[in-house]
Amino acid sequence: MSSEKRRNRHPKAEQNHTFQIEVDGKKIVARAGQTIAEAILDNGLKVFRRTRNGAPRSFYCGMGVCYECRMIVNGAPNVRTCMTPATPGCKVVSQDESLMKVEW
Amino acid sequence: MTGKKTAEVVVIGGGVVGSAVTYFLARNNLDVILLEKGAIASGTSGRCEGDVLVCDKEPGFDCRLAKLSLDLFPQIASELDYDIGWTQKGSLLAIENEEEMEAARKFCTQLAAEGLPVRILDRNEVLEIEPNLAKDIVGGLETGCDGSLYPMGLAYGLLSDAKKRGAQILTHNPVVDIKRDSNGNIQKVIARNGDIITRRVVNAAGVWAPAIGKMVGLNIPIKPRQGQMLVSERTFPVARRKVMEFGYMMAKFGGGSYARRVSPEMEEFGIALVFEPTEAQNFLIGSSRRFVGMDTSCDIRVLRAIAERAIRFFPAIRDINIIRSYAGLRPYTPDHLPIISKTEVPGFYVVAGHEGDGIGLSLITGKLITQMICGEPLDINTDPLRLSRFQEGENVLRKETKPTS
Amino acid sequence: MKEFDLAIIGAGPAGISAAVEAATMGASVALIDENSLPGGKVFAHTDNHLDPFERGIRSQLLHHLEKVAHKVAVFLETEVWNILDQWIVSLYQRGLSGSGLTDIKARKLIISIGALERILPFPGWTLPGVFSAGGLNRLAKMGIVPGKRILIAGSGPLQIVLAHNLLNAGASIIGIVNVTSPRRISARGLELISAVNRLVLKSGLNYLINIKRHKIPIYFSHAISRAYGINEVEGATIVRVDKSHRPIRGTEKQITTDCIGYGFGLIPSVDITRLCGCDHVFDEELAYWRPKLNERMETSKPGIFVAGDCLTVKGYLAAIEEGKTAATEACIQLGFTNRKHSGASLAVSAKRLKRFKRFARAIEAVSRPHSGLLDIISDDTVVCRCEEVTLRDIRSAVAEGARDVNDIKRRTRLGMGHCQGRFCGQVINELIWKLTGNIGKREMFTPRIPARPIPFGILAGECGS
Repeated sequence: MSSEKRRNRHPKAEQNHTFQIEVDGKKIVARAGQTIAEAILDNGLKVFRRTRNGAPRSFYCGMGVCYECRMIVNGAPNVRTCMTPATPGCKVVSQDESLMKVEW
Repeated sequence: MTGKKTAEVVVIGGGVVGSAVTYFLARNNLDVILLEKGAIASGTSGRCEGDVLVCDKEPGFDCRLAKLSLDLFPQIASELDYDIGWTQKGSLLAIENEEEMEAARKFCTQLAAEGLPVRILDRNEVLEIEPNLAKDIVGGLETGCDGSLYPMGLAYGLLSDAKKRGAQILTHNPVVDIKRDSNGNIQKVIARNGDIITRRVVNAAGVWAPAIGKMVGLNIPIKPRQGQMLVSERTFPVARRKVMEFGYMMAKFGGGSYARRVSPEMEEFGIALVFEPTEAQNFLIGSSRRFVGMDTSCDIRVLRAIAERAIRFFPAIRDINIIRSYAGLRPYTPDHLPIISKTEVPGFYVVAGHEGDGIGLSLITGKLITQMICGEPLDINTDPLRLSRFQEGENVLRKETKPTS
Repeated sequence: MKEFDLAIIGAGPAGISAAVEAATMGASVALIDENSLPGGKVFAHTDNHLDPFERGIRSQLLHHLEKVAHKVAVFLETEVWNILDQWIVSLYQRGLSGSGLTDIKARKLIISIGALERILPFPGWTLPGVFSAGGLNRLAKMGIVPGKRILIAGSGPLQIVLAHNLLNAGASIIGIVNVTSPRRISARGLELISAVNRLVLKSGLNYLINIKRHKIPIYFSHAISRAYGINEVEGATIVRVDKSHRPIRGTEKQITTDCIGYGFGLIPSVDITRLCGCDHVFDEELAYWRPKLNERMETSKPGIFVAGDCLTVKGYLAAIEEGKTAATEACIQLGFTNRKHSGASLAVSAKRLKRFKRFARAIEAVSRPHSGLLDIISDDTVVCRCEEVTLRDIRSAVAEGARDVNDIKRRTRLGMGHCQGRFCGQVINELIWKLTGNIGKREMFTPRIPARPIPFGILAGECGS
């Protein structure tokens, strides 16, 4: 059985209410009740941000402590996507933290 | 590390000032031992911001001393084989209203007369340079030469250089007593891990300087003046360089005629906006002043007032996270000037009491005391910094003590 | 300021059970949780992923809470960032429908904030696709499978739960890597079985049967020594370890994987109790810091009680019992009951808890990672995730003379990031001792306001959102 079919048998899949959110300009499908991080991972995307040294990082602790999952949500940086519900039409952007410096 | 050692000079206190002293002494080929009761830069130097400023100094001696020190940083920073994060982007004093603007123009003229690269910015100019400032700010006073660095890094870098030149750094080694001979000359320093025979001691112990002074019968009138800080998360730049509020300085120097439009709590805690972007992509926000002994815990009322004052100037930080707070103890003297001085005890020198200017004045302090010890001509007349001035009862400088300044 | 008899921080099984007990005795209760639903890690979300036993517990908890709803004010999506004597609790309400309150006052406090993942760095552990076991478990419970070839590694019973939930979500698990040896597990086996609750045991066995049925290879006495990939994890190296968990060179195996769930069990979250100034002790047997308690579930700060996994990690059944006990003790102090009246039920709880505590110690004994695993950390390995501080940076600091945690912190910025040392702080002492060859005093970073990040506006007294 394909994993897609198996996944759709999962009781969680009962929540058929879906909507779109935008991640780095790409429209992806989120399910009701998902956090932004869950929607992103559910769509097979993994890189959430880049550190100041360019290292790729992703969701890690899942409980709001590590801040690894932080992204720019509707313009606000450093939002913990694992603690933030996905809402229809929300715009999410990866943080490239090498840009967090003053340009002279 | 037991057993007897000898040194030409023993420096007590491994903060930024003690490190600078050790650096200059070692460069002058003196045999130095630095004694630090804990870890390097674990005292006030580990609880401050990394300021090297002239913008908040009173025109005259204060300003000249600070400029001499500032001018030493670029070369030393480049020579150290340790990255101290030195940048020289200048600073901005934000001006809240027209009354302040008038005073700022006068102040600007005075600083310019000292040869400093200063200029007044009007509202449009200041908002162009710092677009995140509150829109009702009327202007700014920009000081182009001001700089910043990582204060602990400065201590580590200076000592790394000093070690290469033979200085010994003994940490986790508190001084227990200082012995003098029958003529009153220094004989040896007794530290927990052993004695050091020496004839010269430099007391660079900051807020602990009075305790060291007592060991040789000296009264050093330094009091710890607590300052609290807020640390932001790393985020996109809010201000491009250090920003402070002009109003506070005006109240401090102005002889009591100016009062900022702030709450009584702001005055009680001596709150003044200090916004410092760091190399670590976050910013530090201060500042406050209270006399609470050696307490380095943070009082929520003070933190709250600091946050309020900061939001007044930078509304955008409302939504930016604070990840930590901390408090440091400034070594305060009654006339706000440090002590860089020989004393009536032969061989005993004091370099302490820099209040909030320790980082910025560290290099000139180290240079001057080295010149003093080696009998070389001084870069500036240190008479205003003599320890004996407090006994003489003279008011050498115009900086008067106010309970809340 | 709104005043309550009792404020409970953390609405997991311990917190809910405490709230129900206290409210039933007549106390007014504030129940605070940072998540959008009460229930904690196990019960917060819908119960479709739970087995019948757990489902029953969940509905009981929520049902009892509902019954006392008029006496319990529930604050969700709310983080506690400061606590003042005696006791003003500062709140940060993230949700849009916040109460608008910034502080509440309570006569007694129960802290029941649960546990945190125990980590140990390894080369490549910061790559996207390497998740904490708890984090991956949460995804699996939501039916999300972020990879096609999943590897579970580390130690502890959470591995079994994680594997079960992943399988339920349709995942393909290519291996379970566990540092413990079957010998060590069986040596404590009788202890484990005798101490564990019968129904929990039944669940556990079902999970194991499920794992066996899927023919998932289990690598005992093995650890991950490396994860590699360019932008995401693409593979891992596993290596055999000896009794002290030191990697045995030459036994490396490459495994292709695109998702790793990694952890060494759980440790109590002590940030709130530390900020309050409660005394803590490092429990050598359990290998973690925990708050010191008297026999009344009270910390060294009179009036502050602790219950659940943030005390010692024992699971939700113990948490429920401890919540009840702590609430009873708080209510005795508040005057809603007395020892004569409640003595019997306290004794029953105490007896049950004795068994859970034995279970917890037996679990830790077979789960805790040993110092040999530190050998896996290479110079390039990031130790402080937040500030990207590597072992090489720490080694340089030690070479410059740093011997204590704060000296390392000042020199490298380790522990200065968002998580304020919650992760790197778990290993920094051992790393310093290893680098200096000298076992010194174990230290933690000084707790400071705020207990967790809060916006400047919140500190300035503005209401959330």
